[in-house]
Amino acid sequence: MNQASKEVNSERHILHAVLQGLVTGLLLGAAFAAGFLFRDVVNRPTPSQTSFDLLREIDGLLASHYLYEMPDETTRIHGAAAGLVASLGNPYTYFQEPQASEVDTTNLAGRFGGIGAEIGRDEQGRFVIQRVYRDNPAYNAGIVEGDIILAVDGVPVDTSATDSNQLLAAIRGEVGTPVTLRLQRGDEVFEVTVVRAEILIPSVFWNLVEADPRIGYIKITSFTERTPEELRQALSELSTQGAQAYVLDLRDNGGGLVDSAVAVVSEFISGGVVLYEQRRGTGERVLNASQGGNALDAPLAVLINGQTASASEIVAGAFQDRGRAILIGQQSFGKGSVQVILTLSDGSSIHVTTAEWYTPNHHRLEGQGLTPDRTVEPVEGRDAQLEAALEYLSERLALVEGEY
Amino acid sequence: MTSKEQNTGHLLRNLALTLLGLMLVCLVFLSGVMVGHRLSTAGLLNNTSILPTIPALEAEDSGPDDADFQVFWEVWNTVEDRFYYDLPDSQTRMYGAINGMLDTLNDPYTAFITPEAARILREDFSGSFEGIGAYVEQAPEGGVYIIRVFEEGPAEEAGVRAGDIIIAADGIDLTDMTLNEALLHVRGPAGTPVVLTIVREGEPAPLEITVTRARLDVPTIESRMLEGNIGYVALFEFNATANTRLRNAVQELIDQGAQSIILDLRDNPGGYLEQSVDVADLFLDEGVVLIQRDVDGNVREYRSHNGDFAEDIPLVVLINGNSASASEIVAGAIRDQERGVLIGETSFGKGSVQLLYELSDGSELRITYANWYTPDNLSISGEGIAPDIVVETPTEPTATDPQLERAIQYLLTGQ
Repeated sequence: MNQASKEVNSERHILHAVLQGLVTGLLLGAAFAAGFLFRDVVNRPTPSQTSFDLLREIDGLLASHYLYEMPDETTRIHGAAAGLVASLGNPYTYFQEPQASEVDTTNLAGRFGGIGAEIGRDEQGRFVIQRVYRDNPAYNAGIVEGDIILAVDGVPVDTSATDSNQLLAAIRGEVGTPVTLRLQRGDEVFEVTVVRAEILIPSVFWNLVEADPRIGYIKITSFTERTPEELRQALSELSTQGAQAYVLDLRDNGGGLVDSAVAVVSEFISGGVVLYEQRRGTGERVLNASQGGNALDAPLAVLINGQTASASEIVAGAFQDRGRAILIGQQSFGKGSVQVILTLSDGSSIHVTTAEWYTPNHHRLEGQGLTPDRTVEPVEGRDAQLEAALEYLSERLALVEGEY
Repeated sequence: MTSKEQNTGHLLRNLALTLLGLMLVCLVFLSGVMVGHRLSTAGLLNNTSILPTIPALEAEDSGPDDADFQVFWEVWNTVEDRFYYDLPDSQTRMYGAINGMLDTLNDPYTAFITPEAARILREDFSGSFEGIGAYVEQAPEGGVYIIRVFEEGPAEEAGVRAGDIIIAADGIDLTDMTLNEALLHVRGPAGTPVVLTIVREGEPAPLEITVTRARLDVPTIESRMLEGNIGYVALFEFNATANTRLRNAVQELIDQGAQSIILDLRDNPGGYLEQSVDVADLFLDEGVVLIQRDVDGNVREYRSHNGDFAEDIPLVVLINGNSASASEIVAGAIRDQERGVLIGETSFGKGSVQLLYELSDGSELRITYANWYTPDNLSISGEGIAPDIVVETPTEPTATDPQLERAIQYLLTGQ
């Protein structure tokens, strides 16, 4: 009995095992099929995935059928990238192909190999030294504003040239190499040899106001890495010369580095808010003025116009909202958006607006700009805006000196 | 072991087995998803849905690797992560990318057309549409500007006038849309009403006019009898109804006693290639109409055949600088087969052919894929077709039509 039932049992066991195997197999097969059929529900393609297929589809169709010669793959992809960025509709956000990228960074750093002078043209079309940068080779060699350039390394200057590019290219060169200029000053013609150096383009120019030597005039042309240092030098010199009030001229200053702008504000205001920066998602960031400024009490007037933009508007806006200075001139440009330049894996780059700046009173700069406390339109033949600033400062100084 | 411990042991063991079993089922399910997805993206499951209108060419899988698009993805991701303002939706961005890529080709005829624009264009070129009946363009400050209303069309009957600007349709603001997007709201099934909000010069406030849409023909043909038993027919575009309507018009003219025909193709910008072949065939007996050569060197001849009812009747074709593409096919065939006289100005000079692909999301890609040549194997690209008798278009509007008059003169006098 036991033997027989054991055999029957083992047959049943085998049957059971086979049935179990079949059922398991069917179950697993059904699970697989379900996964297969419901693949899209489970793993829904993102919108960008499906429409990217469209881009690849189109690129493939072009490769197969387009009649004419096609630009190479890289050009097509760069075109797609440029079109993508353009669709954002923001004028400051754009894509740049590799060769163009390099130019940007040098300007903000402020260096190149030359003699340290600005060149312009007079009414007769002759090339003239328009400005000499202090403490640079041209300055040290005694070259002054007004000198006419007749030849460079023996080659006469071509006065019929449409621009100064060729002349500048001849004067500039490798640091440490000499260049000989033939100059005319009045009736005198002479030659001077200058050794090229790495020229640090100044961004700050200053002088004591001739009409009122209690006032120092400071012009900042852009906010570079060296601007705060140059400003300190200006303040130091001017205060030594007797300046008690300042005109800060930010007209035509298109902006620059925000850290530089904050440092400039810090010369005149001790601590507290200079600006707010808002990025998508991360909320608000505050930038405060530091301590240790050199002109915390002197009356201050700031000149602005329609080309005063970006970092310049931060500076002017901080002064206005903190009550440190009045703004004189015209409505500023209205650029409070911040861009970063990101380099991509093949050397191309993208400029993208990542944030916006707000003044201490949360005034939005973008598209609006700053309204001057005193509006003064430019006038032909004289600097009416500067005159208004001097008038204001003169009044303030009178108060300070106790003349009521 | 006690019986109780045995039972607990059994329970735990069963539990563990069940859990393992469930895990296995899930794993297998997921592997089904993965395999299905892989096959899907490799294009082995989906219909790649490419429907060309002329020769059945297939998109080879010769597209770029994802590696080539690396930089594009870097830009895409950077924009999504860092851009300060609200992003347009991903479809808008992708369309921007597509247009950017096509711009690098510098071929104005190779173009990407959004689904909305494609619908409108397809409707326009079908020869009839359902809407209010007006010639329109985009108003400079947004909205739909009425150039002219169709005579006796629904818009005219409801009181819409030339110069009106439609700023809303059924309350939907049109001023932020492209023209084609806006038209999708203005058009609609025949018999249905649409409330148009209209800005009209001289009216202090916007007007609301309700128009009942109708099925309307796209103006394609105009014909009449002229002096001297001359039959005149003007064809405005080679849409899907061009050939049929032209044949009807010419037949009618012949029935009315026409002994010669003036076919006016001035300002006709072209259209479907097959329509132009059929139109040419009406007037030509056995011969070549055009020769097409594509990027792969394939040569295709389109021919005309005997047996049509206008193959002998004296024929003049009017062309001008805006006669392009399909119009030039017809004029070129008639010239090279010495079938008729061309009068007017040198034509536009568009000798390329575009393939129309409908893409998976309803958008359309037009690719220049071939050039066409006249029966004498001449390319007209950039040069156009020179008329046999040159008559310039007057620079200022005149009451007379010198090109038409010269055609009449030729037919009546033979010079």
